Amino acid sequence: MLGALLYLRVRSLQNLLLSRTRRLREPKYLIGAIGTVFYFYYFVFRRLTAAHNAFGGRGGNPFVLGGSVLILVLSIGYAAAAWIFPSAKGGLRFAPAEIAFLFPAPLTRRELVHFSLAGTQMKLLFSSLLLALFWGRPPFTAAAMLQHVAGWWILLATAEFHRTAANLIFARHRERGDDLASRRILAAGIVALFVAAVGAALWRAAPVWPAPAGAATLQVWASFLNRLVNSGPPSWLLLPFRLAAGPFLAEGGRAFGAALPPALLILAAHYAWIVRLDVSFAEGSISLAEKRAQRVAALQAGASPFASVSLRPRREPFRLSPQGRPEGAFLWKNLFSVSGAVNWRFLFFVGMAVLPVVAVFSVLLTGSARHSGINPLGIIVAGGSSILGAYVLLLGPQLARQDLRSDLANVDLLKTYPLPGWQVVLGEMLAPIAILSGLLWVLLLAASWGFSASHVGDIPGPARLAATLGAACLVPPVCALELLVPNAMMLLFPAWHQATRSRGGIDTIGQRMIFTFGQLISVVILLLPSVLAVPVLIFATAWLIGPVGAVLVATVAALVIIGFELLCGIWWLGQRFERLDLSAELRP
Amino acid sequence: MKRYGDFTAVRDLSFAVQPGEVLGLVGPNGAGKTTTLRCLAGIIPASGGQVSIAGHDLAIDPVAAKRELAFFPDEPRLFDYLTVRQHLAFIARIYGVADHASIGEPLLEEFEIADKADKLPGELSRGMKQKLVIACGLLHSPQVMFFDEPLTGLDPLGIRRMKDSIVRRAQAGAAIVLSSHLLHLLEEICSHVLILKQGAKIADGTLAEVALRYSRGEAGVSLEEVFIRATGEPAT
Repeated sequence: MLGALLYLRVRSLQNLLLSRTRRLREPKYLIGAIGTVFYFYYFVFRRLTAAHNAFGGRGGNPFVLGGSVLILVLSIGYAAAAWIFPSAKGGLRFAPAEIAFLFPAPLTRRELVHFSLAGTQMKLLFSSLLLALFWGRPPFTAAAMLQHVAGWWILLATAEFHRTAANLIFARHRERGDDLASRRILAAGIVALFVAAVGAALWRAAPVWPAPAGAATLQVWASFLNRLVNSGPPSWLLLPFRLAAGPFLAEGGRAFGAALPPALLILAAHYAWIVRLDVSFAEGSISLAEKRAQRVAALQAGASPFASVSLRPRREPFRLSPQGRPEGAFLWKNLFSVSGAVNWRFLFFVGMAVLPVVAVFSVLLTGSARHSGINPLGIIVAGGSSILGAYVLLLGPQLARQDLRSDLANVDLLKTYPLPGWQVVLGEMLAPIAILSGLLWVLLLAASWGFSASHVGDIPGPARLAATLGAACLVPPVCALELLVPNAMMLLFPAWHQATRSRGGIDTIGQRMIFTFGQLISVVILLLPSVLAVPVLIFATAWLIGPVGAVLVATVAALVIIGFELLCGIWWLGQRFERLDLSAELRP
Repeated sequence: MKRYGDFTAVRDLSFAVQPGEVLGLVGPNGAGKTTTLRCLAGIIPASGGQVSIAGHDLAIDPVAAKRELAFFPDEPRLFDYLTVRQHLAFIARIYGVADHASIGEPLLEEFEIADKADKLPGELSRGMKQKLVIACGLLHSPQVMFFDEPLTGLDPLGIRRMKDSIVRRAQAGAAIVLSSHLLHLLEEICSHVLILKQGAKIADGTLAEVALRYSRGEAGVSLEEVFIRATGEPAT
C-alpha cells in the first residue's frame, strides 16, 4: 500500500519536474527560472551561510518572541475555526484520480484513511521545508534547520489532523440527522469561554503593562506577552497548544529533544482519533474532490481565491443595452462576479490583514496627537484611510481579478469575437478599474475630511479641494495602469500564470513573488514620469496661477502622461492577445 | 499549417466549403481536427497558409471574418456568473444584434432550454450547456459554422434536433464544417467529407467520391468502412 503511494508521489513529482524543465527551452521561462534561482539564493540560501543576526540572537528578536505568541494565537484560531466552521462535506482529501482508482479497489476503509493521511503528510513536509526556509530563525545551521522543518511539520500536521477529525465528527452528526447549527453554536460558546478564561488569566497574571511608546516598544511588548503566556494559569490553559508548538518554539537541540515526545504524542493521538472514527467519508471525499477541482479550475481561470462557487443568479449590475460599445458588455459581465468575490470569507481575511495595522497606527497616532494638540479623530480617519488606500493600491490589482485573468479559461471563446484585441483587453479591465476606483474615491474623501478636521499642516481649503479633485481624477487611470501589469504578465506568461493559480501549496511562492515584485517595479517605472512631473509643475506654476491652478495643471499633465502610457499598453496587450496561442503555451 | 515547436500538428491542408455545404472532418484521435477548427475560427494562429472566411482573410481582417463565423467547441465554455438569458444579452452586445430577444427566445425554445433561461451554468447539465453554447453561436446568424463534436452530451432528442438544425442552416446557405467521430451522423448530414491523419489530408470530396476511392469495387460501402480503410493506409 505504502509502496503504491510512494510510487504515485515520486512518479508524479518526477513528471512534473520534467515538464517544467522542458518549458525552460523557451527563453521567457528560462529568464523567469533564473530569476527564481536568484531570488532563492539572495533572500533564502544566502542567509544560511550568514551566521549573524541583526538582533543578536533569538532572545532579543521581537519578531521571534512575538511570533511565538502569534503561533499560539493562530493555533487556537485554527482549532476554533475547525469546530465553528466545519467543512460542509466532511470527507478526507483524495484527488479525483485517487477516488476513481482507489475507491472501487479492494482496500479496507482503514487503508484508505492511511493513504489519505500519509498523502497529506508529504505535502505538509514540503510546505514545512519552504516555511522553514522563508520564515526560519537563527541560527541557520543544518541541525537547526532540521529542527525548524520538524517543528513546522508537527505543527501543521497536528492542525490538519485536528481539522479533519472535526470535519468527520460533523459528518457523523450529519449522517445521524442531528442539528448541526446548535452544535456549531455550542462549539462557538466553548471557544468563547476558553478565550474569556485565557483573557482573564492573562489579565490577572499581568503585573504591569509596559508603556506603549518609545523605540523599543515592539521588543518590550513581545517579551512581555511571551512571558505572560508561558507562566502561571495561562500556561496551563494553553498547555495543549504549547505542547504541539513545542518543537517549533524550542531553542537549541536539548530543548527540541525535550519538546518532541509530547508533541509527537499529541500528533499520534490525533492520528489514532481519525483512524478510529467510524464515519463514512466516501461521499464527502467525492464532494470535496469535486469542489477542489472546481476551485482549481476557477483559480486556473484566474478567479479570486476568495470567490465562492454559488448557484444563485446575481442581480444585474446595470441594464445592458444590445447596442453600444462592446467594452460595456465586458464591464457588465465582469461586475457579476464581484458579489461572489466579496463574501464573508474575503472580508474576514481582509480584516485580519488590515485591522491590526490600522489599530497599531491609530494607537501610535492618538498618542502623538495628544501631545501636539491635533484632533485625534481627524488624524485617525486620515491615517486609517491613507493606510487602507495604500493597501488598495498595493494589493487591489491582485485581488480585483475580474479581468482577463478570470477569463483565461474562456480565451478561446473571446478570440472568436469580432473585436480587435485592444478592445477585448480594455473591456476586460473595466470592471476592476471601476471597483478599485470606487473604493479609492471613498477613502480619498475620508482622508481629505480627516486631514481637514485634524488641522494638520496649513493647506488652505481651496487648495485641499483641488488636490482632492486632482487625485480623484487620477485614480481611474492609475488603477488602469496598475492593472495593465498583471494582465500583461498573464498574456506573456500564461503557463506560469496558470501554474501559480493551480497549486494551492506554497511551492509556487517564488513564482508569485517574482510576479508581485515585477508588478511593483513595472508600476513604479510607469508612474515615475507623472510622479516627477506633478511636483515640478506645481512648483513652477504655483507662483504664477496660484496653488489651485497649479494643482489642476499638474493633474492634467499627469493625466496626459498616464493616458498615453495606457493607450500604448492597451494597444500592445491587444496585439499580444491576438497572437496568443494558449494551446502552444500550455503544452507540457 | 500549424506547428508547435518541432511538432507539426497540421500540414499542407487545403480545402474550401461552399455555402450550403456541410463538410465532415474525420480522423483518428490526434489527427489534428480540433487544431484545424481552432485555426479556422481564429482562436489560434496558423503557422503558415491562408484562411478565408466569407471572403475575408482571417489574418488581414480578423474582425470582419469573425463577424461571419461561429465556433462550437466540444467542451462548452460559459461564464459562471451569467444566466442563460444573460449569456444571450452579452453575445448580442458583442455582435451588435439589436433584436436579440426575438432571435434568442426562439433559439432557446428550439434547443429546449427556455425553461432554464434564468439559471446559471452551474445548474445546467452538460448537454444543456452545449445547447446554450450553440444558441449563443447562432444568435448573430453566422454564415460559416465550425462544430467540434457537437453532439457530445446531448440526449437522443437533442441529437435529432441538432442534426435538423445543422441541415436547415446549411439549406439556408451557411457553410458548415463539422468534426465528429460519429460517422453515421456524418453520413446523414454531410455533403462532403475530409479525412485527416497525422495532421495531413488523406482524402476529401463528396461522400460518394470518397466512398468510391476506397470501395475496392464494392457497392454501398459505409463511411465507417471507408474511414477504417483510409486511415489504415500510411499518411501521404
